[in-house]
Amino acid sequence: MSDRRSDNKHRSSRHREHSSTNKVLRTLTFVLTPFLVLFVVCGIFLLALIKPLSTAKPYLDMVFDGSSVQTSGDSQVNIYHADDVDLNIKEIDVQSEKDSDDDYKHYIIYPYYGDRYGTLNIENAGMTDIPVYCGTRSDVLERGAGWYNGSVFIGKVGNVVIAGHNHTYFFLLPQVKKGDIVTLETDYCKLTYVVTETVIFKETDLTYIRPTEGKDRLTLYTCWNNGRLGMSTQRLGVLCDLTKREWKKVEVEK
Amino acid sequence: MKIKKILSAAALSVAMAATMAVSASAATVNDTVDAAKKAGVQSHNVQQLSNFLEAYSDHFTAAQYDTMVATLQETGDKYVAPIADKLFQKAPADLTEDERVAVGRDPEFDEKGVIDSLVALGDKVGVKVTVTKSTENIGYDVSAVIPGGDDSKPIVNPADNPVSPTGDAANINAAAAVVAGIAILFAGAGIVVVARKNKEN
Repeated sequence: MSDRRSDNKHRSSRHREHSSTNKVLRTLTFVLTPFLVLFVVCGIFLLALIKPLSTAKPYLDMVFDGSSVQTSGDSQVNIYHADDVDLNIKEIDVQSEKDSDDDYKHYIIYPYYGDRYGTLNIENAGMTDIPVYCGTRSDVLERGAGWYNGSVFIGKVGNVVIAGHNHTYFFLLPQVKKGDIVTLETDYCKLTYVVTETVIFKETDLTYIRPTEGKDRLTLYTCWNNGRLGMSTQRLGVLCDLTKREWKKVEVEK
Repeated sequence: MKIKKILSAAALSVAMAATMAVSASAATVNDTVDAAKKAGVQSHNVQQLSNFLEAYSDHFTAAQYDTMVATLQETGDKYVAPIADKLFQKAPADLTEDERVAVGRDPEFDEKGVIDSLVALGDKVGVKVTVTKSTENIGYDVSAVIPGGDDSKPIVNPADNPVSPTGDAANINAAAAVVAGIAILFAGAGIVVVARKNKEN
């Protein structure tokens, strides 16, 4: 009897000790683990901060900035002109062997800076319905690709140059291959090109941006950072030759 | 050096763009574009001028066109010709594209003089030219503002940089930083609450 009591007492004591140890462990586990997680999360942020912000920024934008996601929406508030400005339509003379008809009198709708100008498609690379705006300032390039106003108007003979951000609308430009079909459509014409060459050039090299006298070309470019996102002093250029030019009927007020 | 190059090119082009006074005839547009080429302006800037003239030809008179051509010639003779002669022994009209770039980079090239004369020309033909230090590119932002139907509705025509930054802007996205900060704060607060709750249990 006495032995049994002693045994129970011993068991109870061991249970209390065991229970106490569990409590300490539980407390350590439940209380310290969340802080450990917080420590790890903060550590990741700190490590990210050590990298140049310009390197990390495109990734941050993709996570936090919904407007950077590729869309085909064209709603906008244009800061470059009043909303009720009239369309600027003029008749021009354009004719080349690439034209779909024999007529050489066509109407062109001149875009105002910041306006939606056209739509770009390179289906083989998954680039569909990319909005093209007039201008390449940063506020314009946030809304879509941008037509450089030092290149010819879309539809005219010469070099049409279009820029786009490598983390949004021209994200897939590196996937464009020689032979891919590119279409560029505005309210007054539709141009079809074939990709002939991809080039890497420095931002100070204007070889591919300059006008091409009498030769139809489309030049698309974006920042090239060896396949990574972010700012760069280099550009990836996609050069295309015109294969077909189709003019649309434009209603003109007499 | 880069600044000088961009400034000179941009200044010339926009000033022309600003100038863009022309009658509606194709000949006058062509004459103005030719004057820009002969003044040593780079080809993409000449194209900017050509585009501007083409789109807004109705806004200008033949007299304004004469003024513009004369000023372009004068600007080329006064600011470009001496440098072109010093570096390449050529007239501005005969310079290659690379040589035109080199002229703009020359330390003796008076970009301020070019800007001033062409901004003044803009005033003469009713176009407000603005040249400001660029916040997103090296060099300057140049715009030519055309009055609309009334002065309250101007049409702004910025001259694009030939090769724009397309890897996103370099400055900090404050919104993203704030969101990240708030997310960390919330995460920290949440973890403290969870830890206390666990301790009570």
